[in-house]
Amino acid sequence: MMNRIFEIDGERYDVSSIVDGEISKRGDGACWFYNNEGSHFVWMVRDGDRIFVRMNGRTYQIDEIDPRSMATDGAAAEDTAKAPMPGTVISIEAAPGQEVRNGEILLTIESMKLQTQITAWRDGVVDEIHLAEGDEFDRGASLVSLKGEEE
Amino acid sequence: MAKITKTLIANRGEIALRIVRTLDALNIASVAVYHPLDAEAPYVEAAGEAVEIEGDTPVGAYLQGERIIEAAKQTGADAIHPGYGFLSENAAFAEAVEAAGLVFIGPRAETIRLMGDKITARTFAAENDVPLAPSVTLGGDLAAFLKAAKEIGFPLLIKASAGGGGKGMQIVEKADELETKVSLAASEAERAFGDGTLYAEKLVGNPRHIEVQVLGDGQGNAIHLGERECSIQRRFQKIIEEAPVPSLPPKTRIAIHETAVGLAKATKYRGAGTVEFILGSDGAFYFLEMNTRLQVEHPVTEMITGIDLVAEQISIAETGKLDRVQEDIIFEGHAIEARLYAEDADNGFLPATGPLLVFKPPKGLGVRVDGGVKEGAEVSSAFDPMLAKLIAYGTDRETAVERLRAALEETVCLGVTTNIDFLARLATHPAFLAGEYDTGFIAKYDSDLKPEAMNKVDLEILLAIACLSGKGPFAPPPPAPEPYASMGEWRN
Repeated sequence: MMNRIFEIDGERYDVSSIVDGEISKRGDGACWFYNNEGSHFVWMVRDGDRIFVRMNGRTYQIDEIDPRSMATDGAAAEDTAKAPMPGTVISIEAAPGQEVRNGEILLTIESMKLQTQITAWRDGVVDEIHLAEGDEFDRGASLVSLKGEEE
Repeated sequence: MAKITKTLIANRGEIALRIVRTLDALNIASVAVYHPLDAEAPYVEAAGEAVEIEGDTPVGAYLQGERIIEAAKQTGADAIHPGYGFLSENAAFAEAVEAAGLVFIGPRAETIRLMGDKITARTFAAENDVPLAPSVTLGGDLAAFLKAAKEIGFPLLIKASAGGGGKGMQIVEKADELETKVSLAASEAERAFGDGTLYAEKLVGNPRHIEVQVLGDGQGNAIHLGERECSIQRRFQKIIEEAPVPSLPPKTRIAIHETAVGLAKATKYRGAGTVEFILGSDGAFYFLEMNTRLQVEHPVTEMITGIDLVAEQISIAETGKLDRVQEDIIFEGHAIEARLYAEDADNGFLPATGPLLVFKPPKGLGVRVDGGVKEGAEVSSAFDPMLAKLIAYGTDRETAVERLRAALEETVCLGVTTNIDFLARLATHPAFLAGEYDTGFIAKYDSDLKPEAMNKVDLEILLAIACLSGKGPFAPPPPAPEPYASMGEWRN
C-alpha cells in the first residue's frame, strides 16, 4: 500500500496509510478521534488537498502532497518568485535578459491595497516576467523568473 | 431638527450589521446597500431593505456616492450612516447627502475636510494648543523637502497627507533610503487617495498609540468618553485595543482627555469622533490625527461606559444636542477587543483568502462578537480581510484578559488562514498581561509570538486525522472494477 505525504508548517511527513485509530464526525466540523491511547475532541474540515484542524486551542493547516509531483519540485522552483497573495501588477522595473543584483527591484505588486516590491533574491539575469502591468493574479502565480545559475 | 425614521447604511460587513442592531433597538427602519459579492452577507439579511449597487470594483461599489444617495431617496430613507472607511470621511459626500435633503449621521463636511487633510489638521491643532511632533510638508519642491526631512533627523516617518490606515506610510531609518521611500509613499498615496502629497515627521521611538473618544453637539460643546489603548499593531494597523489604557499616570490621562475635548470644541465638532495621539516613553504626547467617524474599536468604549455610540450619533444628528454632560459619564470595568483577520500571522501578516468552512464564534458572559461573515462564506481579496471583532469585558483588566483568552480558545475558524492563534499567543504574553507595551510590541517579542513546536503526540494524532480526513485527491485511481462489482446486490 502506498504511503501518503502531508506537509505541516513546511515540514513533510511520509506516513503509512494504515492508521491506528478512527474518527467519528458530527457533521458540522466537530469530530472525535479515538485510538489506543484514548479519545480527542477536534474540529476538522477538508477542502480538496488542504485539511484544517483545530486541536487543543491550536489551528493547523495540513497539505496533502501528490507523491507524483515530488519529482518535478525543487531546483526549478527557486528561480521563480511566486505571488504571496492575490493582487495586481503595478509596475515592472526589469526586462528579460537584464542583469540584476541581489535586492534590486524587479516589479511592484499591490495586494489588499498594500504595495510590495519584488526584489531579486540573488544576482542573476531576468529570464521571464510572467505578467504585464495591470494584470491581476492569484496566490501562487509565477511573477518573475531568473535564469538558472552558472549555466 | 427632525426625527429620523429610516436610515440607509453606506457600508458593509460587521459595521453595517452593528449599525442595523442599533437602528432596530431605536425602532428606526434600516436600508442596506450591497455589491453582488455581498448579497448573502449577514448585514444584508438583517437590514429591513437592501439595494444592490455596482461599481468598477467591489470596493468601488461602496464609493458610488451618487448612487447611494439615490438608493436612500428611492427607499424613502431620511438619513445616511456612513460607518467607517469608504465614504465616511469624504466631505463631498457629506455635502451631497445634505444637499439631497437627507441627514448625514456624522460631522459637518467642513470638519471632515479640515481633519481629513493631515496638513490643515495639524495646523489647526497647533493653533489650538494641541502638541505636535516636529515635521515638514512636501510642497512640490522635492529637493527642499528632502533637505528639511534630513534636518529633522532619523528615524523619520513619511505619511500621506490625505492618508489613513497606514497607507502611503513609510519608516525611513537612514538618509540614503529617503528618496526611494518618498517615491514609494507618493505612488501609494496617489493610488489610494488620488493625492500624492506627503509629509515627514519625527518618529517617536516605540511610542504608545492612545486615542480619545469625543462627542460634540456641533455648537462648541463637547465631552469625552475616555481613552483607548491601540498600541498593538502590525503593518500600522491595530489588532488589539483596550479601554481604559493600562498603566497611564493619572495626570497624563487627564491632560490627554482635556486636549482632545479642547480640539473637539475648537472645531465645533458634531457627533462622534476620535482624537489620536502618540505617547512617548518620556510621557510627552503628540497629536496624530482626528478621525471624524466611528472607529473600528469603538465597542471597548461602549463596554466600559454602557453608552451605545451609534445611538448617540443618531441622537445628536436628530437634536443637535448632547444627551449628557461630562459628569454623567461613568467608567466601569475594562474591555479588550481582538480583531480576527484572514491573514497569515506567521508569514508577514499577508492577507489570506479561501472559504470559511467552519466558523464558530465564542459566546458567554462578558463576550461580545461584532462579526460580518457567516460560516460557508468565501473570503475574497475584494474586501478588507477582517472577519470579526471579539470584545471581552470584565470588572477589572485581569478578568477581561482571562475572558478574552477563553474566547480566543473557543473560536473555531477553519478553511482560510486566520490570526486566531496569533491573537491567543499575544493575549497570553507576559508583557501584555502586565499591561506594559508600546507599538514596538509585536516586533520586540517576535520570537515569543511564534507558534511553539508541535509535540510528538500531537503530531501523530494530527497525521492520523489527516489520513482519516478523506482520500487524497492525488491518490492513484482505484483498480478497475471486477466485472460483477458494478452490479451490486443484483448479481446472482
